[in-house]
Amino acid sequence: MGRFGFVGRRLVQMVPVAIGITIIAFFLIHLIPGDPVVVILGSHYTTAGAAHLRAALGLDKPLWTQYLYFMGNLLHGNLGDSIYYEQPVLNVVLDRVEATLWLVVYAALLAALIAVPLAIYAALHRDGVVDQIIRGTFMVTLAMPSFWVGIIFILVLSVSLHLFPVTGFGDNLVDHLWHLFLPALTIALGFTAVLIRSLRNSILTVLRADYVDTARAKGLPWRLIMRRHVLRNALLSTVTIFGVNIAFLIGSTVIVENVFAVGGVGQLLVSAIQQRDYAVVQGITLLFALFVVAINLLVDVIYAVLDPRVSYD
Amino acid sequence: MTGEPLLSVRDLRTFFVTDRGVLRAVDGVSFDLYAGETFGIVGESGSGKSVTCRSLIGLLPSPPAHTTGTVRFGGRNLVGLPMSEMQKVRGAQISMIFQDPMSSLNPVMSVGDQIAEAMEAHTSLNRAERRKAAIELMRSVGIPLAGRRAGAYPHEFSGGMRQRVLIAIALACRPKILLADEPTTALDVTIQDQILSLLLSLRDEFGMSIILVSHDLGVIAETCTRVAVMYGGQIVEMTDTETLLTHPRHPYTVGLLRSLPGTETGSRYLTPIPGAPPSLIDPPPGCRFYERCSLRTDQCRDWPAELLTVGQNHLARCLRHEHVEEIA
Amino acid sequence: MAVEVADPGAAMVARIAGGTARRRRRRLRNWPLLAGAILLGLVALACLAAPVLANHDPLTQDLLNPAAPPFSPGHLLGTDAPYGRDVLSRLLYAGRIDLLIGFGGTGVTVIVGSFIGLLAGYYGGRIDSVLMRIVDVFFAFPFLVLVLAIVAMLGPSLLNIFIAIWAVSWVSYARIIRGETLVAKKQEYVLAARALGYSDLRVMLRHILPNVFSAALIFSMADAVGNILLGSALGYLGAGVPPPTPEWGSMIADGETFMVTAWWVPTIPGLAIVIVGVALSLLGDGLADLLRPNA
Repeated sequence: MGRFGFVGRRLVQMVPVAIGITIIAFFLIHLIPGDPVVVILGSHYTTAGAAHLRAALGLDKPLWTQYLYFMGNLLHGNLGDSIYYEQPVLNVVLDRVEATLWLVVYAALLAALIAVPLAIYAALHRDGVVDQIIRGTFMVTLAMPSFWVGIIFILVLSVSLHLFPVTGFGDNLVDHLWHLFLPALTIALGFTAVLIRSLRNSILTVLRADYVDTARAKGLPWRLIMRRHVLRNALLSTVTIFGVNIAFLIGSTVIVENVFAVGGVGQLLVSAIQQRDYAVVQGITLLFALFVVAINLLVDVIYAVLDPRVSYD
Repeated sequence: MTGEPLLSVRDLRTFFVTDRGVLRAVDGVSFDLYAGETFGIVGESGSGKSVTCRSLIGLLPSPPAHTTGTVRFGGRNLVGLPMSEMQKVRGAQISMIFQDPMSSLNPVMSVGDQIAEAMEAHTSLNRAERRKAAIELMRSVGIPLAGRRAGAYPHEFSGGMRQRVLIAIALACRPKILLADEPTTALDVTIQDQILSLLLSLRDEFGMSIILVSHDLGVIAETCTRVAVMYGGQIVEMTDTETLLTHPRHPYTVGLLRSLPGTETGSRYLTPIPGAPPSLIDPPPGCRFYERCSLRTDQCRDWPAELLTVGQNHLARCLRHEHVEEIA
Repeated sequence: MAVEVADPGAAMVARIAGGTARRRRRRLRNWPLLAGAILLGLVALACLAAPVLANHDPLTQDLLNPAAPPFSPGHLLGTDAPYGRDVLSRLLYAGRIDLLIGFGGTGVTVIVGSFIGLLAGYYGGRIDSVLMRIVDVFFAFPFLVLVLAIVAMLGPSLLNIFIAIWAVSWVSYARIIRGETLVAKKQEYVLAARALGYSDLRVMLRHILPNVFSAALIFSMADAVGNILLGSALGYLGAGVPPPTPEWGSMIADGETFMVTAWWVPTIPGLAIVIVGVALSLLGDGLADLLRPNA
């Protein structure tokens, strides 16, 4: 049983949350004041189309039945149709998902790359000048709106210095890395502050641990102690940080995609709002939330693998 | 005592710089340790006994701690030794085990790896050889099924077993001296005896000396041949165990003896020593036990509180040591 | 007659203490609290006094004078492009909106979320499970996305922004206060109060809440920053307070196209957001130091 049972049990625990997510997503449409069919169809309104939509959503039926229609559709991968693109919502989203995923992962990696060395340095030279500068700088970065930072990056690095392209996603691997660097950096900046703070605290806590004394009393060189004893334990908590913050990361990505016109799901969301393409808005909201839950499951599994204290039973 | 001491401590002082002033945790400690003996340091919390131990191998972070004095070992002074040299001494010549076995082991490394690691810095054994040696060590400290359990993690072991692992770690490179800081305090009473006997038998088997620190005079009495009593950062009495128990020459020692349940003083009630230990930030000049002492006189207040020789190999920091027997 | 008692350790004390005397210079104990409060107070006051301080109407266009740089006559912070509206006036009036979103959003969610967390933590069992499950569901949504969606559905207006934030942000407080309550209810003062027969409500509100509220208060600072960033992001994306009402985020969006020629137009509102954010963070740190000094 062991590991598979662990994953299985986690999946089962996720079901109520997933259902809750669908309920909230379902209710989104019902927030629309006035006749939802009229509003959804907007300028595409036709009597036939309206009747069809009304039947598809089951709007003449009681609420819970409508929900069942919704769930039924969902389980078949049907998130409704985009009025604007005249395609199923799922297709429209999947067309753009690659860019967004790239951006999220890129941003997370950049953030880790920046945060880990800085946090280690800050922890080891606690309350020193550099530590205070690091903490102060990131306190300011946390207050910076990501769209503002993005615009400034564009101005300075793209337009003035021509170091990076302004918009877009690129065509191949290297192109992706180049195009997405500024957007990823913009997102990472916000996330790095959180990472540094928690990693620094983690390291400081571990440094005080008794087993570090034991390691020192063995006469081991300090580098080895840092690597095998301090970091291995401190970084463990960082794994969960990623899980907890994935929702925040997605929110940042939505904003930054629009600043840099990356062409991902985030940009789609905003344009759908502007076009009153409600099915798309609802669909994306739902998918993002399910994605967050999936990532959290992944993080739980990774953590369980890394920490021998976690029992699979 | 025969021959040259293995370890010779003179005027050891460890002070900490804190927000509220300089904390004089260890204030002029001197003693010798001979080969093959078990030397005990007993005192209450805050007496400086743990700090003394850690100062011997420089384990205290250097700000805020500052250590002066002489710790003569192997022909040189360990105080002020550069870290690279100190790291060669630690583990190989002088090892230490700490109080809380529950938190003294790295939770994400297997027990076998942690024991093997102890040999990594000091021997030229390769990984496989270290592994084998680790398993052997686990056997000699009495961990059953050593071969199978070497890959297990600390949380899978009980407190007593973890302490055995820590002992194995400490003994991996056959050090000449083992510093044991309250090795049984965090353990069940029933396990305490096992661990203490283990320590003594290993001492004989490996031919090492042990410095045993404890607040429990009973533990010291069972295992040590010589004892130093610490109070307020200083040694207030030092002699062989038997003499200490039967003919103490410092009022604090008497108080300690009296607070032991079921000792030969025969009292059925635990008698605590009234008052509280002195602040180590601005310690009183002169005798630090003055406030709590039932034998004190005006003379004591102005007396510079030196260690006096009150018998053969018996030192006591008390002006009125001859009168101590009256209250014993 | 007092005798000079020799103290061999005194020399050492003098030596090591001397080196660190410099570091123990009198540092104003809780400077973040003071600095944060003053900064925030100044900004809030300035925005509140917008009608007095602004020397122009924020909506008036001056097409003869677009993109005037800062320190132009009559326009301390310049004018925007292409409409020539006074940046300073717009900044101050926009600040009212953003600060309102920050405080209004937080103000309600602190109370509602804390109370729910209190209930969950105190009663435990089924109530706790259900409430925390609901909290988990909300946490799965990126707040920005959910707020965007709700505002999109309800229609862009300041009230709808509030509704969206209230509907979503209470969960953070619920989680925090629930955790604190779980710890608090095992404390002796709670056991004593219950032993005295006090009603549950009384124990929760008058005994537990005052002790756990500090955690909520400290978090509310960070939450306010988050709400301001959220509100301005909505404004930037065009999903917030509808034009022509000035708002820092939409000002940045408006100025984006003219970033190269009139850099101050998008940059200055961003600076305003940063200043408010830093002030709130300082305040939060100061409060944390004040209320939970050993954390």
